[in-house]
Amino acid sequence: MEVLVELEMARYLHPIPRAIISAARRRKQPLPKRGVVEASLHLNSGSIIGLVGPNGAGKSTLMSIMAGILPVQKGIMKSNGKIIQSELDRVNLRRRIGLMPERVAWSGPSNPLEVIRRLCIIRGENPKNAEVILQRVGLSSRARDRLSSLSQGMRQRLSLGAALIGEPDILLLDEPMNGLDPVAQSAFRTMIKEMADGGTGIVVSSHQLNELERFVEGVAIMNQGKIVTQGSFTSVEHDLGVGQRLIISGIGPSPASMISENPLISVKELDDEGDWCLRLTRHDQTWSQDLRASLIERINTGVTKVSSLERVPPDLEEILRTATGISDGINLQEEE
Amino acid sequence: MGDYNVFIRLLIHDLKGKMTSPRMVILYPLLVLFILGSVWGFSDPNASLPGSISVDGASTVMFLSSLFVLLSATLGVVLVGFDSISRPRLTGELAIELAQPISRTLLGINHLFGVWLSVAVPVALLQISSLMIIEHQMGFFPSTADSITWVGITALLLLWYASLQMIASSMAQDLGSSVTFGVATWMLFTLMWLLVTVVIATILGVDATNTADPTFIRFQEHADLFSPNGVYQLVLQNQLPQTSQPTVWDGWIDLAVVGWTVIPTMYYLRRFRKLKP
Repeated sequence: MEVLVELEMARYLHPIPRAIISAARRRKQPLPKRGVVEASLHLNSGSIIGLVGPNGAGKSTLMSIMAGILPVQKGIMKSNGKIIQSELDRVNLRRRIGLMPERVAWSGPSNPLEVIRRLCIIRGENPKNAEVILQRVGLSSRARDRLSSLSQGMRQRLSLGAALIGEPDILLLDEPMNGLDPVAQSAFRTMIKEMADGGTGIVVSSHQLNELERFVEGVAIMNQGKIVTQGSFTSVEHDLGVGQRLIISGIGPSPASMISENPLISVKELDDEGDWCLRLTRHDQTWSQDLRASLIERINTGVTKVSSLERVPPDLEEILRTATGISDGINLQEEE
Repeated sequence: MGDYNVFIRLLIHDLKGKMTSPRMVILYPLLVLFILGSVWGFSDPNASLPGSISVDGASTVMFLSSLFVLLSATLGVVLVGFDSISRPRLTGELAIELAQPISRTLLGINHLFGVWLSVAVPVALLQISSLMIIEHQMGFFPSTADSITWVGITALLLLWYASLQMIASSMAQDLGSSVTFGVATWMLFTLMWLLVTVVIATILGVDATNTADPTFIRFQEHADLFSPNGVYQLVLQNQLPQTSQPTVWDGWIDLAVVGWTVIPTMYYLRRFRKLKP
């Protein structure tokens, strides 16, 4: 499988405003690092990678680096084995890339048709292709409407159309499903899968983890400017040690307190049919056959009996929480 | 397709859009009134002009009408260009543009030329039409050299303003600051420059109480080299009869023309190359 883009310890730090530098010096604190501190990522042809992370993790900056908008300050970026260094290298890289940035608020006196025509000209494509692109993203009926009259969903479609011009090898989509209606989301997933089948390498950044899980093949998790881990769901689960959830239910008194005595196991009581239902998470190792047998043996004493036991793979949210250390609930506190 | 071919096609596309935009449609009548109207008035042999102004040739008409170009066309550039980078940057459209396979320099020049030519082309057409008005009113065409100088230096003046406005637009974090910078620059050079000159003259010990004093006039001509409007008028003043020509050395004027053309443009392009969406 061809490696389309490769980042090795790539860094791009945004300039820090003078006020923040002076404040940090006054408080004798280290200067904050904003952007991509260290990212290693491989994008293969035909693969779809989900890029996830909390707000401010550096996902959009990483997308801008991969799109050839921002230079790599440190580390290496390669495209088809060639190191990207100069502006000319980045121009050549951009010929192969389609970028859909997050929430483009298209405005002004122009219309979708003119926007796509203009971008076709910049890409050296025939402007007559603009109508085909708009048809592909379901905007042909609004082709001549003013940009300011478009809804958020329509604007997202236009941004997607802009990314599709010239059939790029690499597609970088930043929050592509924001504002799309369910039907459009389904069509979007189908289109993305078809493009990946055709060999396009796709990176999708999204906070809609449930949606992302439905079509990405692998995941890269970013936190504080770093890619914490990358790979298939299985390998990431293994790397992070989050493949160990067990849903167990039964009759009789709940064994929750007895299980909680083991500090390596987290217990959460779930509402379900039966006398009790627990979600058990091991933080040290997977729930092997032996561990499960031993657990059942411990519980099945007296009147308490296990009636069902099921291993549950972690969802993307669980993986993200484990990777980034974000606890239950929304973490809205600003990091120091 | 070569980069330059893309550049030309993009520029033509952008010019079509800008020249038919609502802003330009509002500006056209003003440009017609200011440029054609002023030339019509100054070239009228029966007109009595205020003060001691006397029209003794086509070059004088062109020189006098330059004031009206300064009042209308330069403001037009400010109004057309203030949001050409700041708006797409705020909306996120700039990120898509910067992700396209075209060199940053060419894209930056495209933005600059789009703003500049969308005003400079109609102004040049109006100036060419003005030559016919002069012929109609005064019975002769201005000399080719005078005409080319008039149209050419006006185009350059608009380029200078376009570069300044693009610098502001690339720096601004919001549309308000961009337009404020543009209008403030326009006001400084168009309305306030004499005041600035008088203040500096006073600080440097030049008598500024009598603005008709030859020492002050010499000082003012040198100070004008630091203003785009001043350079524009010095170039046009050089086309006037010998007695009305400026005393400042021609070489300084030429150097100022080159400086105003190169320095803001290069600075803007340098900024654009490093621009982050």
